[in-house]
Amino acid sequence: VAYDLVDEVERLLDSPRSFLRKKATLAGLRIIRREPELFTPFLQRAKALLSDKHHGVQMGGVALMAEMCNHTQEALDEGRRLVPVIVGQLRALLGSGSSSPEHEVAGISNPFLQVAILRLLRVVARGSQQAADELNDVLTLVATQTDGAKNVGTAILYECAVTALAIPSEQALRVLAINLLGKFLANRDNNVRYVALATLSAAVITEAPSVQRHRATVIQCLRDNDISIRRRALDLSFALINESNVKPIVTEILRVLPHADLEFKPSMVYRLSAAITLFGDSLEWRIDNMLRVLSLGGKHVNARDMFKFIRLVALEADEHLQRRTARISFALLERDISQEKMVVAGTWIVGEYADLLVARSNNAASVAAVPTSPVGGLDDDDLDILGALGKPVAKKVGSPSSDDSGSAPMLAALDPSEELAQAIPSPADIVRLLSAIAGSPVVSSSSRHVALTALAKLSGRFADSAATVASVRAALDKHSQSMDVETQMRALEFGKLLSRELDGVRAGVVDRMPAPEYTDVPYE
Amino acid sequence: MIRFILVQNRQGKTRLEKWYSQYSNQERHKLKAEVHRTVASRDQKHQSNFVEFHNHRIVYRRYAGLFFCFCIDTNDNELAYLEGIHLFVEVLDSYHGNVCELDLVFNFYLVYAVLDEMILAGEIQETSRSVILGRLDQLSSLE
Repeated sequence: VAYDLVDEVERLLDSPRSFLRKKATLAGLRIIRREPELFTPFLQRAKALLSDKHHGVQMGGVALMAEMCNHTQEALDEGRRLVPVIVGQLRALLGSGSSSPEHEVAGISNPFLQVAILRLLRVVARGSQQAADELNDVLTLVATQTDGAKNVGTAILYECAVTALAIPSEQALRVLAINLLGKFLANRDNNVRYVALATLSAAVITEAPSVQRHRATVIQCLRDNDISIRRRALDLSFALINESNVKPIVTEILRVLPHADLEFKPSMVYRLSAAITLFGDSLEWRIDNMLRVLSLGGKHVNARDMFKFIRLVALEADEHLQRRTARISFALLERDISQEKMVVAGTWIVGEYADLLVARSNNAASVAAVPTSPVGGLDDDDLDILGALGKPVAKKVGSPSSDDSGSAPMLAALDPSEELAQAIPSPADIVRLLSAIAGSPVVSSSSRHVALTALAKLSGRFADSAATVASVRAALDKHSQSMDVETQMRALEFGKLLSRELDGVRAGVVDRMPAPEYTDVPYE
Repeated sequence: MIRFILVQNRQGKTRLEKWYSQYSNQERHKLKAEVHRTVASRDQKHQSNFVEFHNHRIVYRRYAGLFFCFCIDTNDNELAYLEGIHLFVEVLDSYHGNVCELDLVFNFYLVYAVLDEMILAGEIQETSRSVILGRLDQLSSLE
């Protein structure tokens, strides 16, 4: 049918009646979509169509040209030759005293035609430096002159920004485009924000420095009411992470994590672990934040990341850091044992470093030597995490709080030594916690097993305290009748280990685990 | 380009449908039901007017009890099509004078005529209200 009709259409394209020309142009469009090789007659008339006085014909012509350029190189070349003509048409629309008041919407002359022309320019100039140079001026003109107060203006500005980013344009124009999109992010209209985030996500690969400037607005969008906007803001925030801004961005994402939608949590947690591992600088910061991730999103952390964290603590952390980690884990476990991976990791840490946990003598000296982390107010974040778990936290008297952005009014800064001092447990406390975990119905069976192992380790760590060993034995005994085979087995075996006969052997068995040498961790 | 246009009421009845791409009857039924499900369940105040749908996007707007949905390609300018929807509704309004759902039901042929004047082959062709209305007057004088 296309072959038959193309002659007819060609004839009608030359018709003096604009109405017929308009329909013929779009008929041509349809033909091209079906049979791209039939472009010759249409290409010949391209110039005439694009500069036609009648707006309807122009619109059709623009669409036809765009379609042809998508298919054939010849059309593309012709299009590039015609750039001055197209630009002229656009300028005519922008100039005051527009030719056609009936096409106006909200004071802007024929916005649909403007958008269509901008789109055509994008298709034509993509990949052509020369064409892009010719477009610089008119694109800047559109960007600066168009009033973005209403949706029509925003639509034009959006198309302009997308075009500016798609073609090899000048740096100044690209920065202007990103700034336009940044302004959109603060727009009250959901649609505009959505569209801006989508484009910025695409642009962040090539325009990273400019997009970084709008980081604060993107982070605000993390708490938007619209779920698709939240999702895109999350993706964009992760894409923006680099060495210099990883700390504030991770802090913000952690703030949002407890309230995030269930479908986001696994990927958020996974990407957070990756970001912390890849971009984190100090070991202390990395461990702290992994602890936060575990306690806020533990259910969704995969086993591999958890193993990596444990290995990190065992292998690279010095004794002081291990003590700190153990202390924080203990405090976190006391408050909440619902997050599975946190329980497993925390229990292991508490069991392994129980001796460090209760050491009080050199506590004051080493704690005083701890430099408070300068970035992001570590104290606030510690409290933030506990606050997120819904537990009350003590306040420090007097000294000014260093909370960031004033968004944490109820959590005052707390001196780390004071917070840690609160949490120094006695051996009895540790036994109590571990047996609570082992006996709790909400923890998974692997948590239970780790808790039993940790209890056994305590017998070695606190070998000199007979009361402790006795309570450990009692705690283990409770599970010797357990329905779960593994639990029962462990309870009985450890119980046996704790009995008199194996006194000599026991110390060696439950001693500090050597740091794992393997670098590859098992995948769950 | 626009793939298809649907105007549906809140219960899911389709008052107007125009297909600019090849779809079999069965596919059309499925699409209509799916579009209604997707669009009717969205929260007007907090969510944007754009939904991802298969490989395309649906731009929709609710006017009184009717959902006007345009299904467009992913690389199209959604904000511009939102304006297009508004223009379409405005033209219908000025033609019928305060148009309501019943007008669409009883004068469906006129609605299709307006649509065909505005949109052809999936592209917006005529954006001038006066031209469209002038054309419609011509057509009705022929009857």
